[in-house]
Amino acid sequence: MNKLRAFWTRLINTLRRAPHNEDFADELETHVAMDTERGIRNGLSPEEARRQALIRFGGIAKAHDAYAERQGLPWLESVVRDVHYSLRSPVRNRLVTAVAILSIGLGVGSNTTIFSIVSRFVLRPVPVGDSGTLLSLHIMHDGDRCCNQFPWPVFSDLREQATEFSDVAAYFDLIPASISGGSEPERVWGQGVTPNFFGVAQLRMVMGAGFSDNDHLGARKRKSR
Amino acid sequence: MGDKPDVWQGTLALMVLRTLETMGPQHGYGLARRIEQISGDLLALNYGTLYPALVKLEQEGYIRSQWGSSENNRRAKFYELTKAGQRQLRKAAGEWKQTTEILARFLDDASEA
Repeated sequence: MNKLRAFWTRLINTLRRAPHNEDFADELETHVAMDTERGIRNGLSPEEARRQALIRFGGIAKAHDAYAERQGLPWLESVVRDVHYSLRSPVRNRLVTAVAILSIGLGVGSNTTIFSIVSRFVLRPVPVGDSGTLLSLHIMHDGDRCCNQFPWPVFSDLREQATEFSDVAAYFDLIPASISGGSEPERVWGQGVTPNFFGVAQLRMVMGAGFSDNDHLGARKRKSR
Repeated sequence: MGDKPDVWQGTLALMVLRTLETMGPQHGYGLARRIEQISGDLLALNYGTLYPALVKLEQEGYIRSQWGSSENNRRAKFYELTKAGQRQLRKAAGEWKQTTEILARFLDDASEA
């Protein structure tokens, strides 16, 4: 508590930049004068008495320094000086300032771009309902993860027999497609997925009804024919 | 003067507080002289070190100061103990006594062994 109080006083002294130096000089002068008087009473000449008083004091300038150091916060004073200096110099060297601002601007810009890409594809969780319970199935080859292309029969067996999973869905590589409504057809990239894909990934339809499992069975029937 | 021990760190504040308690308000020179006298002139008190210590004590609220006039009608700054200073003095004195007692026991033991 008292340390805090002392710190506060010193902080205020530093910010006000008005140390009571004259007061302190007076106080020291009083001190030396009193000591000199004592010397004179003991039979010394005034000059000798004052000389000895100053020796006993051990350096007026040193005391001033120690006092000033204790009055304020020296480290804060140097910080304040540094800030002043750093604000003054950019105004003096306009060209250097312009180059600095430009390069900082470019640096910040490119960093922001890179970060937004990384954040979109790496840092943010996959946009599915519950990414914790969604697994990706792969085939192992020589003890290493290989590929995730399964023949259809394997997939349907997996779906029917692997009861550890609530459901298994499959997707195919990106396929080009074109959408045409009333106007110009538009080329888009689509992905072939099994009808239950949206259910497994817990993705809700933005509009309209999704696909039902019957569509899937229908597809299988069509395929087996 | 060279053989006298310097004032140990931290003990000067305690000496100042104690002197102010027994002597009442004092100016810097009076404090310095008094501390020297009580130490039996065994202690070399660099007067210059006294003032930063006084500033510290004042900032911590243990003493307060005001300008007055000395016995010789000289303008001098007088220091006075505050309530907080009295509490601090009691606490620090207790701690110091305990420390010296413990040390004394160790040193006595060592001489017997």
